[in-house]
Amino acid sequence: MTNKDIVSIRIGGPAGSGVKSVGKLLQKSLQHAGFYSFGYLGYPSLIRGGYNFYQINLSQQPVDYSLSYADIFIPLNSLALEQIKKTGSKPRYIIADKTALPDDKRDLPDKSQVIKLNLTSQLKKLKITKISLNSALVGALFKFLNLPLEKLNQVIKKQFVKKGRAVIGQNLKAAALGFNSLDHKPLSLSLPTTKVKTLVMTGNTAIALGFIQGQGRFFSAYPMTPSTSILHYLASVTDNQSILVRQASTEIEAIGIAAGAAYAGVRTMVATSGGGLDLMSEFISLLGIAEIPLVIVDAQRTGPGTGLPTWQEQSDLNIARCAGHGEFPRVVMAPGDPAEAFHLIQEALNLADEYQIPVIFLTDKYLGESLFSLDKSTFDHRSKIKRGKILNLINDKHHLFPRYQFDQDGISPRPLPGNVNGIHITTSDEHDVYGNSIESDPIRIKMQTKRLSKLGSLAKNLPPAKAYGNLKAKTLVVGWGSTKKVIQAVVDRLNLAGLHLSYLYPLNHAVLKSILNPYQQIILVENNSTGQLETDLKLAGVKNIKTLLKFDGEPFFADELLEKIKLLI
Amino acid sequence: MTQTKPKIGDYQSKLRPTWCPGCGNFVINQMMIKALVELEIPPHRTVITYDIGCNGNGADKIRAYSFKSLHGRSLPPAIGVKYANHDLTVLSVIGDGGLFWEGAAHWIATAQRNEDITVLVWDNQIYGLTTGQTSPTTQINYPTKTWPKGSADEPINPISVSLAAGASFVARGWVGKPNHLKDVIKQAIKHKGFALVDILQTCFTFNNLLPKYQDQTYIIDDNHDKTDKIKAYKIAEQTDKFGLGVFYQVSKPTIYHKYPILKSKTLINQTSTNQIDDLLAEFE
Repeated sequence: MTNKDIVSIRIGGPAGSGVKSVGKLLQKSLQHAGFYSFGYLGYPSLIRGGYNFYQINLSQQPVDYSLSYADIFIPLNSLALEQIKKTGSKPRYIIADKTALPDDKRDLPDKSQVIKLNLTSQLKKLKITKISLNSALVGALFKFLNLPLEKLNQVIKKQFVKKGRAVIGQNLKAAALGFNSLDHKPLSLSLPTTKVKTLVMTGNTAIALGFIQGQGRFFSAYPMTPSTSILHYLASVTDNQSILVRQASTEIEAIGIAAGAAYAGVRTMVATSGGGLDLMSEFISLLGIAEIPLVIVDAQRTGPGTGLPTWQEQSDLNIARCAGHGEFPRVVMAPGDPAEAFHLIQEALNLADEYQIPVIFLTDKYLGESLFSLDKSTFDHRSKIKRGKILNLINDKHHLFPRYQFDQDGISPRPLPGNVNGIHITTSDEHDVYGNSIESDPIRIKMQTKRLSKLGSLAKNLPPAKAYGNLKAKTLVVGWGSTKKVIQAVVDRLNLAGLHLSYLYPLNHAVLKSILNPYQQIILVENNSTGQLETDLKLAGVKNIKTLLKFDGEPFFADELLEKIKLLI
Repeated sequence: MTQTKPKIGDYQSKLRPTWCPGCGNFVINQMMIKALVELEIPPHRTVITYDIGCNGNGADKIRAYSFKSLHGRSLPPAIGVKYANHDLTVLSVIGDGGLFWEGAAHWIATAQRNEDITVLVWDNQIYGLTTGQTSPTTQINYPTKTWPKGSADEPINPISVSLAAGASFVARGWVGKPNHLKDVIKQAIKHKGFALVDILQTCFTFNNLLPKYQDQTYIIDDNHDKTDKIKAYKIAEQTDKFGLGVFYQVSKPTIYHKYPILKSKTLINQTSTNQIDDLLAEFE
């Protein structure tokens, strides 16, 4: 989106060279200066070398989507420049230390104005550690944007507090050096005057915070990009919260332990990516027949197989709806931004408990790992904890308690292990009301019908999606998951109507049809190669669907989606 | 809390077992019950997870909080139950095929991490319920449906592998010596940390090992130093005879040592509310 209000800055370089450090320091400092920002990270699956980038879009207005181009490019080595040339991107400005520029000027992208800095040698002269180049570069950029150095200094003091005074001192010196190395400020930005308290956070962190707020007690996972930072974050807070975190030995073990903990009565969640969800599917099926509540987060990435393990895709909707053999109820939901993730994960915990079902929570690399500016008030949204029919007090003595009795709503009261009058059997076998295994028997039909009846009430009770924007427009743009914000931006710009689906299964087809069919044209946007939601829309009887797909490993960029939708309307 | 002492009848299911006449499972089932009763653990404080197979068909043949899991996956739910409520007694029943093959990763990881559960392996050295295929403990050259001319594979040694994986309690029992088996199970339940009892049994239908065990089992000497791992290996690696009893037992830290919140209260009984307000400052 060639939006003059947004400045996009891309830092590029090999893994381990400080791309993330520079990006994080810059984004934090911009936040501190009062800007909204959005950070999108790209990196290959390796620890050293390769090409990483961190793109920051900043604005005085909320900005929560990525762009295909950068106004300013900060290469950390000469390979980074080659990469940006390869993509055909032509940044207006390249700001770089001498060491990151090629010897031959012809190797620079034409039309870019190059601002060459002599930071490394000056740092050396002043005996400042090489690693402080990160702060020096951000200092230079602050001058370039005409922002006060003081704001950066405050962030440096905070960011390096654990590393001690000496490190803070070196970085302050480096920042000043960078700041003073430039005398011109071609992109003079004025400081925002509105004072909204913002937080900079990834979607994964928002999910973890929602789990904590939702009184989650147990979390297990096997590391798998891009879900791993949920595990990292939760593991880091166990000293101050009543939460137990276990890194499991496999995804199968992760969900198996979780099934046991959930059965024993604590709120439980697991997180993985598509390959891990595949491994978990047998246990998901067990949760289905044994009616055990569990939230399973699937942070999607480019598949199939190992795919592009550190890149974006929304291609697990089908598996989320179908994972696990046999037929059983579940909910599939997908938040569109960190604020929604924080809120929805609390709902997911409630739904799992109330319906005694697995809930599959779809997020992805783009939402999970991008850094969004959020208003702090986002976190005031705290759902009431609903634990469903957990039965604590049972007065009558039972040889076995009818754990799977046929209640009107298909949901049976659930005593927890330890309850003196609640002894029952929980089993992956088909069973009678007490949990005793059965063979072919009329009870089988009743039991299966009872479980599946939850799907009907879910379809009726889950909150329906609401169209937004210009509701009189001819075109409605539909998306799910992390495309929410980019679609919203384009819908606003083109004065169209938009619809974001947070709940993806079970869908109420009649309601969906009534929302969608008044529009002459439906544009469905999906970050995959087959249009997995399209099947549903068609089943619901929605007509005139045009589907926009993207499956190159990147998210939809706002400028790109704008042009694509313009061609369709 | 005043509670009457549990009786054998409290644990008894109203269902009749479906095992073949003479099956070792009857003995194991009864010795588990006796061990629990003698330790005065009531059925509602007992969670038993099961595997798929003939052992799993026992899930509803005992009155306790039974959880019949998937094949090879008896251990993970048992660990989860213990995490949620470590005041409960948690046993994990599993077969030789389930633990040593299908769920071998769980076996190794659970032993290595000293998860606080008691694993009872109903080891009949054959796949019984699926009508007689080779299992990881089937003796070499023994003919089965999948090795009609006799198995080419050397059996795995459950005791040695458990020791190598870091188990803090490793024992072997035999259904032919029920009272001894019961005592071993009791010691395993009392052990804090991962305890594995490999229970030798016979499958009269597909692998009748009764004569072999009658000849070749013996009870490990009382003077055996249970903390000596090398000696435990030596007994485990005997091929002409099978020692019965506790091979190895040491005290090792469990997950609770790293979680102060679990020292005074179980996870399910935590009363403090998780608070995010202080956590948000980091993102400002």
